[in-house]
Amino acid sequence: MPSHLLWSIFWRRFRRSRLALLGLACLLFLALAFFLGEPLYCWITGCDPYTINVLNRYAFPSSQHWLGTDDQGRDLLARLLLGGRLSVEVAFASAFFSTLFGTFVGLISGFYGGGWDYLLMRFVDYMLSIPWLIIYMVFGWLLFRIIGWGLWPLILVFSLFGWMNIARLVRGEVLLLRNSEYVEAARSVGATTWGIMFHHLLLNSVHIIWPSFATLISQNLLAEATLSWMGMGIQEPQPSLGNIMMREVNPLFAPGYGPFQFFYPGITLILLILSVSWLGDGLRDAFDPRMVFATTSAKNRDSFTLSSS
Amino acid sequence: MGYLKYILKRLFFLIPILLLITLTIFLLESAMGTPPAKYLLVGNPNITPENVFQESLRLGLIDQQGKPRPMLIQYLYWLKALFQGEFGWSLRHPNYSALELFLTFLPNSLLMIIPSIFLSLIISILAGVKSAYRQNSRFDRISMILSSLGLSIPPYWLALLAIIIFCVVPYRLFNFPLFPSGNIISFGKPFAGSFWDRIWHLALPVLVLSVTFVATWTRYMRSSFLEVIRSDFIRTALAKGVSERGIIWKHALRNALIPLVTTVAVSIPWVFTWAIVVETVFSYPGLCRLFYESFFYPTDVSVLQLVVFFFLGLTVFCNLLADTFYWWLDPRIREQRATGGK
Repeated sequence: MPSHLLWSIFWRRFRRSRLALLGLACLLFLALAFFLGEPLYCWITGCDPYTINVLNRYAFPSSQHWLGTDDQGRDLLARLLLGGRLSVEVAFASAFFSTLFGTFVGLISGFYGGGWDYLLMRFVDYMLSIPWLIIYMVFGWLLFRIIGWGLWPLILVFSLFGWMNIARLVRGEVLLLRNSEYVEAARSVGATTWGIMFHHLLLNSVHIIWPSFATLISQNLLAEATLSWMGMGIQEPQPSLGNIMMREVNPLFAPGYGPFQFFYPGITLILLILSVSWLGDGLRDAFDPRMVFATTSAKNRDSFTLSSS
Repeated sequence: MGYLKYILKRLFFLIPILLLITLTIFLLESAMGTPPAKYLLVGNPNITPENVFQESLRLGLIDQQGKPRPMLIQYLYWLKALFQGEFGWSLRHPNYSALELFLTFLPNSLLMIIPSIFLSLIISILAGVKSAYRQNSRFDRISMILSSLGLSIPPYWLALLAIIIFCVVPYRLFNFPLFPSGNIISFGKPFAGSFWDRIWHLALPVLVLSVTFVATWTRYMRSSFLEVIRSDFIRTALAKGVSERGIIWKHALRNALIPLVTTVAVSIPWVFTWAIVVETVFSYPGLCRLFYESFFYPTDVSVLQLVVFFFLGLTVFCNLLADTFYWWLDPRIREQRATGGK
């Protein structure tokens, strides 16, 4: 089957889920806002996310500061957009690296099997049963103490401990597929082991990799925000969705104070996580191999409809 | 006999895992520049300049000539101290040992976490059964949307929102908060420390902590209940004329609870983890907040070590518990394992 046809089938299946479409639209909007909206907004209002003005702390929304200012008089919307961008960058980059590594490990481990595979999977099982927040806190703190704070140490920690779930899922799929007939056929026409692994098996476990990639992004978004909120992730003056919220707690009871600094980053974070997870659900349904292809009639072989087996 | 063998096998696998944990923690702290055994000394209120040498010798930091021992020997001495319950002294709370702090703060945390687990269980079972039984109804759709919302709301944000709604706003309006914004009992009030005072202080943290788990477990309950009511024995029971109520609460629920119970057991470490942020926001004097604050400068390594041990041990224990539940509740698994099937 030509690949453009596969993609059109995929898109047709994906389109059927309204939540997934909503998630996609929401994600596109947020991405536009984070990557283009922030410079645009700074250009329009002449604000920038780092300029401190202590005389104008906790200002209410105005035409100069659209969402008001934070506890140091910095423009809140500019910080929110920049923080969202940094959070998304960290989450996306670390999910990318861990998916790459996890897929690699899963393929090798599932294909070759044996004692190392068994030991590795016991290790993965054990690591997966520990809440990731505790792992990230302990190892993140350690890494920060050794190599300093920044985005890259954060990405490194998330990538180092995020690959395990994908490795396990891909391994399971490879275990199912490695004895299938087309692998045997590929081998009989002279395909190399690596060719089988990284062409046939990899392409046939795509329906597992993409949804787990989306899940990993939403998990990393939450992890980054939580760590930054705890003061163990992205550090001031760099904003992140978590660390804008962190500075909220003290002035909560101050008179004449509106809770904008706490409210908007949280809403943005919830929207981001929700849209990524809806998108992931949509991808899962669209890639689901249990949904088989069926031709409507023998005459019209080009039009495919869906039927659930 | 089968079960005993199974558990023994699991316990046997625990030994390398526990050794791996201790080694990890030891290396973590060595990477910080100070050998972990040193933390057994630092902060000790009973130590005098005269007995520093003796203590260092006893803890395996140095040998008779006063030269530092190699890392491996230090690790073995540190492990020995660990097994003897010597976790060192706290740096942030002078004159307290890590174990004393742990034992002081653990009950407070349990006081919050256990009610929260039971509350989430009750709500999620009821909501899950109802939304599965009336699948695709309005209730089902709303509860599924709420649960996906609950899964993506960070608990600290929800906690702050709860403080604003239940403490700040009523305080501004009536000069009296509906619920207290923190701590475990009130001060300077005639009812301070009474039973209802404690409940009053626990209410908000418990509710906020429950939200994430209600969201997760409702989904789980719904899917497992859906699976059960489609199975053959339910149809048989229906055909035999068992009432709808009897089918839901007796036949279906009992079978649907099996996967839920194991899930709950596995996610208990997660309850403790989210309790870190909830306790911090509500300035609740619990173990999880102690853990979080131990990271601050000066880092309280001995407390950190002990609490990390506790969390990891809890994880291992809960996994064992989940397996045990599965074994007890599901006779099919028992038969499979006993006959040597995989």
